This record gives sequence, C-alpha cells and structure tokens, in this order.
Amino acid sequence: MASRGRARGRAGRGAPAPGGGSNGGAAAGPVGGGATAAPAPRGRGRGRGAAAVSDTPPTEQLAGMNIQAPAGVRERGNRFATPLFRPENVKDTRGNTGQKIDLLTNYFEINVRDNKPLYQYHVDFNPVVKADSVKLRKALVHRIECLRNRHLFDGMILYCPDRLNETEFVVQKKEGDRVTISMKLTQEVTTSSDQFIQLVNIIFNQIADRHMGLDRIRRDYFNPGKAVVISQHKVELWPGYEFSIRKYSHGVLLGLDVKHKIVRTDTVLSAMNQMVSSGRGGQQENIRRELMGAIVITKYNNKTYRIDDVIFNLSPKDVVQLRSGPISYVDYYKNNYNLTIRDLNQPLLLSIVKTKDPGTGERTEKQIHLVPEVCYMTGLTDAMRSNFRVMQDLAQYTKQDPEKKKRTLEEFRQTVESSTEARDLLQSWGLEVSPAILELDGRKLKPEQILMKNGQPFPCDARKESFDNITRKNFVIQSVDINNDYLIICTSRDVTHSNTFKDTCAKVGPACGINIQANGKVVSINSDRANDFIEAIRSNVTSNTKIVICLVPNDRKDRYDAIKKHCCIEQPIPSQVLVTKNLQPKKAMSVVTKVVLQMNAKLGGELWSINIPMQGVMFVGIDTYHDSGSNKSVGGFVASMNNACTRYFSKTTWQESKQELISQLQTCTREALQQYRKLNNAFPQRVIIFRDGVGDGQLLAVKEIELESIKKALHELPQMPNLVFTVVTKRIQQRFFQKQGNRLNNPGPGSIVDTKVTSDALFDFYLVPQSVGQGTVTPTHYNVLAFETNLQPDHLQQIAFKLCHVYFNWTGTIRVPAVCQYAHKLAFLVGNHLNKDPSPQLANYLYYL
Amino acid sequence: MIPVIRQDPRFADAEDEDEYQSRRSNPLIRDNRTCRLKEVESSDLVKFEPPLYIQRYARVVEHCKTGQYRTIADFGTAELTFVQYLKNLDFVNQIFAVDIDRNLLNSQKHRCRPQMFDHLNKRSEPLNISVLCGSVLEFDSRLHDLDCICAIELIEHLQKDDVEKFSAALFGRYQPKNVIITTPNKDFNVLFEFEPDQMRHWDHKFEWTREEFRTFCEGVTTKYDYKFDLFGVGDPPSEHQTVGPCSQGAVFTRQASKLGSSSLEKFPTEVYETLYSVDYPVEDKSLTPDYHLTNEIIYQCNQIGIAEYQEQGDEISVISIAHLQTFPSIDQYRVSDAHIAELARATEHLRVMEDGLSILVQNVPDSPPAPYWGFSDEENDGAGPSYNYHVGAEELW
Repeated sequence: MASRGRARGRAGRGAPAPGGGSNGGAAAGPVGGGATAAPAPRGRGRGRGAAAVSDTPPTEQLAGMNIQAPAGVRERGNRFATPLFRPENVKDTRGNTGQKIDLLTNYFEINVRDNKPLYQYHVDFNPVVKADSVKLRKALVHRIECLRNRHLFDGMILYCPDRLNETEFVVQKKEGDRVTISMKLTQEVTTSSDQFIQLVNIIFNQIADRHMGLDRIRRDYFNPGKAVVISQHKVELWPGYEFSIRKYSHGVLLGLDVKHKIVRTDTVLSAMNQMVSSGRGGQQENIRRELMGAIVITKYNNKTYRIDDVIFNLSPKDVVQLRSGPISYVDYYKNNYNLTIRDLNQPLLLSIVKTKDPGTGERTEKQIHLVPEVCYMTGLTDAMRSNFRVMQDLAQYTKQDPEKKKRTLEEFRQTVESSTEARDLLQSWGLEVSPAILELDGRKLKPEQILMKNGQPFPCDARKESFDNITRKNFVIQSVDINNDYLIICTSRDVTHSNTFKDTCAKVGPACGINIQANGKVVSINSDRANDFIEAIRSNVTSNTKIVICLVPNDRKDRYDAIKKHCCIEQPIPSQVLVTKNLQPKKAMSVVTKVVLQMNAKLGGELWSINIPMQGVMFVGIDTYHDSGSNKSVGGFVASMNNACTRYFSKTTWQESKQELISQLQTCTREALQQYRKLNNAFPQRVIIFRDGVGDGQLLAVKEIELESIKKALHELPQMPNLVFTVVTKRIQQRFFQKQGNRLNNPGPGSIVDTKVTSDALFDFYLVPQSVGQGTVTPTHYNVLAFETNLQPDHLQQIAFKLCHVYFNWTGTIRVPAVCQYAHKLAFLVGNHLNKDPSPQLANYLYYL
Repeated sequence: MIPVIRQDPRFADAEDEDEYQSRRSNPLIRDNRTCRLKEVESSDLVKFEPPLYIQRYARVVEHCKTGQYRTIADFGTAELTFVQYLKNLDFVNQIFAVDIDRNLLNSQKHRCRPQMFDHLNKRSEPLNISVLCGSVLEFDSRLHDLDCICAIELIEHLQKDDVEKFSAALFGRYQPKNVIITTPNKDFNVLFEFEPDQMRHWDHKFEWTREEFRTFCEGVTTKYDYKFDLFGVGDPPSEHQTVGPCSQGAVFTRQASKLGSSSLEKFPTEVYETLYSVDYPVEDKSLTPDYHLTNEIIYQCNQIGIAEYQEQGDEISVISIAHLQTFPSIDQYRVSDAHIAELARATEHLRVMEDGLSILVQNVPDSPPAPYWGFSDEENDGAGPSYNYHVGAEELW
C-alpha cells in the first residue's frame, strides 16, 4: 500500500500504537527493522504438502503491525510522520515582534468527518494465494461486493472506512474456483495517527491518478493534455502539481505546489544528429559524454531508462538473443510494438537496470539495449540551462506570481470537486477538502540597516532585490589597500582586457573606499593552457603580491580547477579568476565593481555589516557537497570570528559518499573556538549554528551525531556556551502570499510565519528573506533542534533574518544565513574543484568566495 | 510457432522450475484444481511461441490493417488487452471496448488512457476510445454500421441458445462492414489429452470442430447478407497436421455497401453505459511546414550561437544559410536559401544580413539587468556563467 517504494529510514521509529487499536499496541514499538531482518522463508524452497501453510506465520506476525510493516522483505518507511524533535525545554515557539500581516498559503484544510477512525484488517485466502501474487490478491478482494470498492488493499492489509459486518467472503476466481477470503480486524486507525495521514495521501494519489486526468511522474502529477509547446527549443512544459498531506499544528493539511515538467520532443537520434551536424569534432566521444547519465523515455512502453553507454559498433540490424530465439532489433520492434525503425545505421544505447527480486531480495543487473530513434530525451541539458533564451522562454510559464499561483491552486480543488468519482471516494472515507486556501497570520520584521564605513547605517529598501545602491555609493568598512600589489595573468591576446580591468579597478575601487590602483603587474602568457597560468603564478608572485588575478578566455573547468588547486594548496594566496567576456565594454563597470568588492573580501577586508545587539557570539554555518564522480563528500564548516559578522574561520572535512553527516565536527568546533579566543581573548558565550543541506530522513542522525559531537567540543570549555542548533531548508513546498487590498503579493523580506503550517513536534518557523522580481518567493524553513539559551524564539528569528544580509558576494539578502552560504561555497570549491583540503594558512580568509 | 515438447500442462503457469516441481509432486494441488490455467492453449505436445493469444491478436490486427478499418468495436474486451494493439494503428479513429463485467472494466478501464509517449508522439488521426458496459445481445446505436466488430474468443462463452441471438444482433442489427470471430478448434484438443468432455476453459459452454464452425459461418451467410473467409492461428506440429490450427476464425464481409434505411437502428439508443471515454492527442494540423521550419531554424541558430558564446564569448553569431542547409533537419524541407532568409526575418530573435546570405543571432540578453546582471536569489561569481534564470519547478528525472 505504501506504493512509493523508497524507504526513508527513520531509525528507531516504531509503528504508532493509537489508543483505539486493541490489537495493534502489542506489536508496535521500535520493530521496523527487526521485522524486516527476519523474514520467514517465502516462496522458494517450499516443501511438499507444507505449501498451503508456509505463508501463514510471517503474515500473522506482521498483521499486528501497521501498514509500514513489510509485506515482503521490502522496507517501507512512513515519510509522512513527523518525529518529535522539539527541544524539551521550549514551550512556546512563537515570536512576537514585527508588524502583523495577512497571508494566504498553498494549503487546503482536510476536514475529517466526526474524527471517524478507519479499520485495518488482515486478509487471508483459502486456498492460499501466494503473497507475492499481489495482483491476483487484489483482483479477488475487488470482487467482494459489500466493500463497494471503498477499500485500500496492498495485497496483505486492507483498510476500510467502516467496520465490516461480515468477515468471511466467498468469491470466484476467473478459473471458476471458489476462494474464501477472511478478514481479521487488527486495529482501528485513529485520525491522529501517522498511519491515517499516510492513508489519506494514498487516497489523494488515487484521485490525482484516476479522477483528475493527471499522469504521475516520480512523485508528482502532471497534465500533458495542457502542455505548452515551445517548438523553437524542442521542449514541452507540462503543468502539474506536487502535493502531500501532513499533520501540522493547524490539523491535517493538503500542501499543494505548482510544478512544471519539462519534456523534450526530440528523440535521442535527432539529438545525436544535432551533435554531429554542429560538428565540434571527436564525435563518438562527444556523443557519449553528452548522453551518458541522461534519462530517456521510450516511445513504446512509457518507461524511463538511464543511459549508461552508447554502443557504436551495434546497430538495429544486429541480432539479439531472446528466450524465444535470435531476432534483429528491427524485427523485434516491428513484431512486438509495430514500430518501424527507419535509420538502420544508428548506434544503440545501453542501460543497466538493477532489479531486486521481490521474493528473495536478490539484486541482479540487466543490460538493456535501446534504439535511439524510439527514445525521447528528458529534462534540460546543461547547454539548455546556460542558454538564456531557453530559460527566458521557460520562465515565462514556470514563474507564476502569487495571483496566478492562487488560481492554479484553486483549479486543483475545483477539479477534485467537479469529479463525481473523486467526490464519492472522499465522501466514503469521510474526507473533505476545504473550499478556500488556508489563511494565516504572519509578522514582518523591520527592514534591516546596512552598516557601512564607521558604522554609518543605511536602511534597506525592502522592495528591491538588492541593496547595491548603498554599497555602490558608500565606503566599505575596511579596505585592504591592494594598491598596485596585484598580479594579473592573461594570454597575450587578452592584454587589452587586462588594461581595461586595471583602469576600471582604479576607477570603481576608490569609489567604494577600496584602495586599488591601475598599475598592477601584468604577465602575459602565450597559450591558454592551465600549466602556463600556473607557471606564471609560480614565477611572478612575490612576497608583496596580495592577490593573483587570472583573466581566462572561457570557463573551462580543468583550467579553473588547476588554478584554484595551485592557489589554495600549493602556493596559498588569494586568487580571482575572471572570464574575459565579462569585460566587454557594456558590462565592465558593474562586473569590475563586484570583483573589486569580492577581492577585498577575499583578502580579509570587511565590506558591510549589520547590527547584532549581542556580545560574544559565534555563528557557525555547516553545509555539505556531494561530488557525483568521487565517492567522498565534503563538509564545509565556517564560523564567524567577530560581532560584526565580517571575519570568518573555515575548515573542511571529508566523509564517505552521500553522507550528509559530518563526523569530524568536534575537531572543527574545537579549532574554531580556539581561533575565536585568539582573536577575542575569550571564548564565545553563545554558539549559534545553522546547518544546511539536511533531508527529512537525516534529522535524527544530525541530532544524535552532529549535535552531540559539537556539544562534546563545547563541554571542553571552562564554561559551556549557550547553544542553538538550527537546520535550514531551502527546498520546501510552502509558499506565502500577502493580502494587500484585493491583490496578492509576495510577502516582503523579513516576513515570518510560525503558526498553522508549523508542526507541533518541532520548533520551527518560516522566514521570507528576499524580495523577488518575478514569480513567487520561496521561504526558508528553520527547524531548531537545540535551544539551550536564554534567548527567545523571537531573537532567533531576527538573527536569522539579519544574517541573510551579510553574504559578501551578493549585495542583497540571500536565502539562507550568510554562514550557511559561505559553508556551501567552501564545500563546493573544495569538493568540485580542489578535491583536497585547502592550505590551513587560508583558514581565516574568505578565499572561497 | 515452434512446437516445443512441454511438461504437465496443468502446471505450465508455474513461474520457474522449483514451483513447477513442487506443484507437480503435490497430490493436494493436483487434486483440487487451483492450478488450472487461464485457458489451456499449450500442452505436453505443443507450446506456442509467441503465445497463442498474441499470435491471435496479431492476426486480427493484420486483418484490420488490410481493411484499414477506422471504427472498430471489441466485444468481450475484458482487460482491454486487444485495445492496446488496436490503438497503435494510426488510421483508427474510434474504438469501442465492450464487456458485460462492470467490475472488471472499472478496474481495467484506465489501461486505455493515453500514456506519456502518446502525448509526445501525437497521432496524425484523431482517436477516441470508449469503454462500454453492456451485453452483446442488446443494441446500442453508437455501434451501428461500424467498419469492424471483433469477437475474439467470445462466442464459446455464450449459452448455445444465445449464439443465434448473438448472430442476429451482430449481423442483423449492428450490421458492421466486417466481423471477425475467433473460437477454439475442438479438433485440436486431442493434442491436450483432455479427459472426456473437458474443455479448454471452465467457462466454455461449447467448443466447435472445424466442421461445426464452418456450419455456423454458412448459417450466418445464408441468413444475412455477408460472405466469409476462414483462417486459423497456431499451426499443429507437423506430425499432427490433420487436427488443424489451435484456434480458428472467420472474417465476415458485408455484401451490401449501403444499409437499408428502414431499420429502427437509426434512432439513437445508447443502451451501453459509458465507463470511460478518452480522446488521444492529435497533431495540430493547422501548423504549416513553414512553422516547423521556422522553429527548426531558430533552434539550430540558437544552438550554434550558444556554442560559440561558450567557446569564444561571441555575443553575436553570424550563421550562413548555406551552412544551415547542410543540416538534415533543415535540408528535408527542400526550400531555397531566400525562403529561409524570409522566415528568419519574420522571427523575433533572428536578424538577416543585408546580403540575405547569413543569419545573425544574439547570444546574450540585450542589456544585463543592472547592476550585477544576476537574477533572483543566487549571487553571481565572476568566473561562472552569468545568467541565472532559475526554473524553480524543473528537476532532474
């Protein structure tokens, strides 16, 4: 029944044991893993005579549990449950400052009629129907008239909206035999249980699937019938929805977001031809590189495959050995799918499909050959992503303003309402979707003031996306006096560009109070090879050189990597790489302004700051980066070193692949604390940590491993500082729209929501950090795991907002607290470019900007 | 088609050797008939590859293709399996899938809805599929005068008395241009080593020999204005040629090209309940070749331009039309360079050089949004690509 196979492991989470359930209680408890670990032998090796009973014991045993108990050896997690993470000492999680604002959110209330429980039955068949012939089991149960189709059945466990009067049913198989189906009530599912939420999700998925004309792709639902065709880019946009139902402090809510699926209308063959005719040489390698890892959808059976290789020495004319004998690919498609392959000389695609036998759990790999002509490309390529025209044309449809978004959301509800079948289904389960989207109160914090040189405050204009009007006209807090102590490396072709750069620097630098002049040293090299750049750096950097600037003709990754590796590891010195096309006359001024600020920051200069009325506080940002290629991932750890939040200490850690968890946090924290004392002559009194990049399923591990190792480091201090640990999530479903008169707008930066769509099990809130010009703003979610401090929730909300202002690479607010973004940037540089720890000499600089 | 020596047919649905052996050796199972096949169509002497039902469908589809039938009804459609074959025929406009088992239809009706690839690979001809619930013996005017009605392995499930009514309904009232009927060939059953009176399926009310089937067909043609051709599916092993094919069928063709006008069938009587009805996505025929070519030109120019921008930083690319003509996707339209220039001129994004030989394409927006030409939430780094348009809703597959 938990048809979404992905088990999001939540270790130690047992089956909920709702009070109403008489049978359920005993078996519940932290047994999720235990039950799966010891599956009774099934299917295979069934002894003679015993066949009829061998299935019974494990199913009996499992029946006492709930839906996420495995119905095979498959693991099933309940991703709709929210474990209790709210720190025990926190009673009230709400803030109170700011001005009240009226908001709408992309949620519908789900009303449950009379809080009516659902009934869970264990189903037995006599004669036995194999547990893994789920299809047959379902078909048989389907024949029970009195259920009237108002049931959910996963082949093992059945849920009904009403208590059954009878529990034995006789149905006829297609073959004419009679089968007795007996139901045993195992528990009542109360509306307050996680299981109930999961069932409601299944019911709504059914509605979307069957009664709304939507097609499911992965977890979301799309309507290809309403596709927007963008022929000039060979793509279609399918509008759709992402939705999930969860329990929030306001009750059971249906969260709904508008999504668009980008589908490509070109086949793999035409994409290949495209690559050949654009003729960039090295065609086979080129094609292989472009296609590997791409997901394709087949024309004939609606399946998606990942391309693992392109086989150039095979063609559709070749013969494949099937169980039924040899057959050519052309004939195979002709016979089985009535498809004519036109191009007989195209290469074939290889996809390796890993399957898991549902009975034995054995994993097997299967190689599948596909003919490019009958496969469609999916998703955007990097090339399309970097193509402004494609993105511009797509944004026109995908970026919906609050008004438009609200209408789309209401359409969803209307479609449900207008389908008789959907209404009946909901009715029979006693469910009802409220007619209007949810209203709630928010608060808007005061706009921040940006502090420039000598602490001069300038108020931010909340309507603008950035505050560059402040930074451009006023002096930065501290200049590092670069003067002429910089070194430019460029190819001989780009010498003019280097002059443009120097002159522009001398013009814009002093305007923002940064001392840089036009006579830095320029070294021109004869090629654009990475080695020549490095050689030039090695032989020209002197003890006076403060920063190396490399002007490169294009953004080739290998060269960028080599330069960064050299300047961060071999010969530690701040470096700046700039693509010359950014120095075109039209852009030079704005680009160089930004680069000068960036260089100043990299050298330890302070650009701007905000007022944080607290002393002795260390802010820490943590993020991780997973490299697709290597099997390691990098953790970035960045800690602020002063009250103005302008100086930082950083460190990276390595851990096994795909592990969000940073294992060496104790060391990182210890070093950061020592460094803090060195600079401030005292340890911090408060440590406030923002952790980014944690999935829902990892929360527990973050709490138990990361938080604990940080605590250990803090306990080593003479006096344990106050600790706040907050998980920050950027990719969330929640959207807020502010009612202003009879219009809907994006809520301004600093808007806080800490009611209704928060969870009772958490200490969480939402913060809108930015102002966006187009589309709907995405709030950021803050989930506090530790709050051992005398601060109030209100303070934390304000701190989070303030910290969004001080990311030096963007003269505006960013989506997460600056420390998180620094940590992200650091992890990305190290993971994606350096592949090695940077030199500790740079640890006190923002070299990774 | 290759007859293969097989084992005990009663356990032929066993998924693997283990299961087969355990079931065969289990007296309990052998006695009660839980193991009985859906329908016996293979035995220790014969096994069909591909399975007979697929061969049968393929044969009927072949007939539909030859006749280019546009409106087809499938009586006794059950799991809508045959509809899956029919909907791939690009000339078919209407398919009625009819069965009497509402429960079954309700659980299967969604099988005929357009799949993702049907949306991508749109049909050139419109197609509607309707799933109808009702009895063959009733009359529904929507099914009157169709190109073809198929009754695949249906007739043997009818009571003997109803066969006559069935013929009357089919040939007398529905009067389709063609009827295709298939049914088991009883002569073939000797190869299954049945017990006396045993039939291939528990629900079969009768099975006909070749002779009996021919008699039925002749009966139809004497009574109604049709002629028929017999065919068989599933050849017997060479040493048993005399038993004939495993499955037998007939194609009936209506002789009168026009129907008499007196019939009450003209009045709309929609007796069958429509459980599901769906229109398949169709190509937009209003789009001209020029429209497609224009898009192809924009696409190719854009691709070339972006490549040049990434390699050399060219903000504007000049693309010769002669070069574009070498692309198969453009060449296939067989138009003059001047025509391409004209189409390009009419677009919003492309410009044509004065000599009319080359196209100009701009690779960056006209003016970068001030001041850092960054966009939305991400900051911009000097080293990276500079245009951050975020398609928030897009994700990897």
